[in-house]
Amino acid sequence: MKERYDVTVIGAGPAGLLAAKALAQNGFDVAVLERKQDPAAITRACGQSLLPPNEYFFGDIFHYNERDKRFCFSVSGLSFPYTGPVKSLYNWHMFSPGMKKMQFGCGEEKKTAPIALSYDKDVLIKDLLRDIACDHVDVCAGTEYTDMQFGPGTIVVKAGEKAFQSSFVIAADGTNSRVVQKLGYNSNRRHIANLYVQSCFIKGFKPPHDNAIITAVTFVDEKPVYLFLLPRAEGDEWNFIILTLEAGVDLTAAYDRITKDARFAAWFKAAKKTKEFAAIEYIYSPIQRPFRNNVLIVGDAGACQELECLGAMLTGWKGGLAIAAALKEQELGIMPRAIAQYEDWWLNTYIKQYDYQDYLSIFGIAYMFSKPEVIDYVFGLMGDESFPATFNPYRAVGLLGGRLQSLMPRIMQERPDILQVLAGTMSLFPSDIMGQTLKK
Amino acid sequence: MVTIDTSVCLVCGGCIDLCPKTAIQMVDDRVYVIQEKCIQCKICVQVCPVGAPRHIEDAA
Repeated sequence: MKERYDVTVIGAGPAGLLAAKALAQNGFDVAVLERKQDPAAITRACGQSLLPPNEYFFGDIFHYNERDKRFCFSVSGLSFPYTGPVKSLYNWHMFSPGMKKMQFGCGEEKKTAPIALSYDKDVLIKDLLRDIACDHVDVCAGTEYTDMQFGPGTIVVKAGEKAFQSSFVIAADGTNSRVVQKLGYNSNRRHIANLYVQSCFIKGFKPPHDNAIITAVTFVDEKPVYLFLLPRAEGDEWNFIILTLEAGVDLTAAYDRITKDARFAAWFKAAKKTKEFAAIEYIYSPIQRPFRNNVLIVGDAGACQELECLGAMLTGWKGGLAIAAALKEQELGIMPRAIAQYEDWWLNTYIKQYDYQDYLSIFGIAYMFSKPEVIDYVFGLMGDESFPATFNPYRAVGLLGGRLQSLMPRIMQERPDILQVLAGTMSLFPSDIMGQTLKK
Repeated sequence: MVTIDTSVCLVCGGCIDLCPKTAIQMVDDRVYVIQEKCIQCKICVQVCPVGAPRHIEDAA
């Protein structure tokens, strides 16, 4: 541990480690603070699915370079080693409470590019740690950020008894970021809902479809609960995520009820938990300008982009480069512009082109359609024909909305009562609908 | 007082992040309530997805 660093990075997840990599490769001294003893020991629920490797996403093209075992972002020129397993996923099956199904992707695997890659986050973190160790980054594990003080040209980051001095700080402390709270960002953000999550790895799960993502919306004690079943990268384990926006749902009990429920019992008959995780997220609208007091916010700390960590990787890397350039600007005494350029990219490409309202719609289905019967009807109508292959939530929501619009005349004839429900909610933002329902 | 039931806690860190008084910390991969800082607002009890934080009424 040094007395002073150029940059202190808070959080050794994908965003923090890639920010450290960008800075270290430019010759700067970096400390990374991580509260866990082993940054690679994942304890928080995570989808562990990277998406989508078949289209532009966040302004880049992500892919896995199998020859050299590297994850690559062609536009940003970012690549880093990943030696773990990768599984290609081709379809997404979405079930309603009454088991009506909508499908993204036609099921013919070899004819389409995968919609997501399942990976192993433990290995990803281990590989990144090994990669940046060569660049002389000090990773301080078991070191929890507690406070921050601002002096002229210096920020002191406190971690219990320890103190880290640096010119800049990168906050990569994830969802519910304490640094974001400290800097007062949340007073200008909109709090939309809380996401309560429990997940587990399961063995012996009998999937209705192989190499596919399976999601379902169901109700437990009349409260909407969402199920995500994601194949793990290696072997036959699955990552089973149960989440709800409703406070007070006992998710442990929900697991038992769902796995024994007649609709799902065949899938879970021989299923056994091998590892458990949890997460809670206060969902806020994204931060618009993520730089303040020489602290740059990257990844989920600044914008909730759940279910994939491409956003964390890209913002970490680009944010790290921006701070590296800012340090050079200071050294050379030239007009600063790197951070402003990064903030423009964050706002115009990362935030505005990937509207968090669309992303929220995936969790808003139960609120928009309000009753199980309506969800079943809509899924039944829309599921007649499969959708293009995607797990990109922004694109999926656009596709669903488009088809629903085109079915309006039929709904008007068949079920004017349901049309009325839809007319009442489709003109609203998902955040408004959730806000109204959840406040009741 | 509020304490964390470590037999249930999955160490996701949610309560640490959401505690308004930064009264919860992670030491050696275990989650603890710093009793001197805790104001018993019970936000941790409300947000924990597995019910690990427990509030016990203080004896009057």
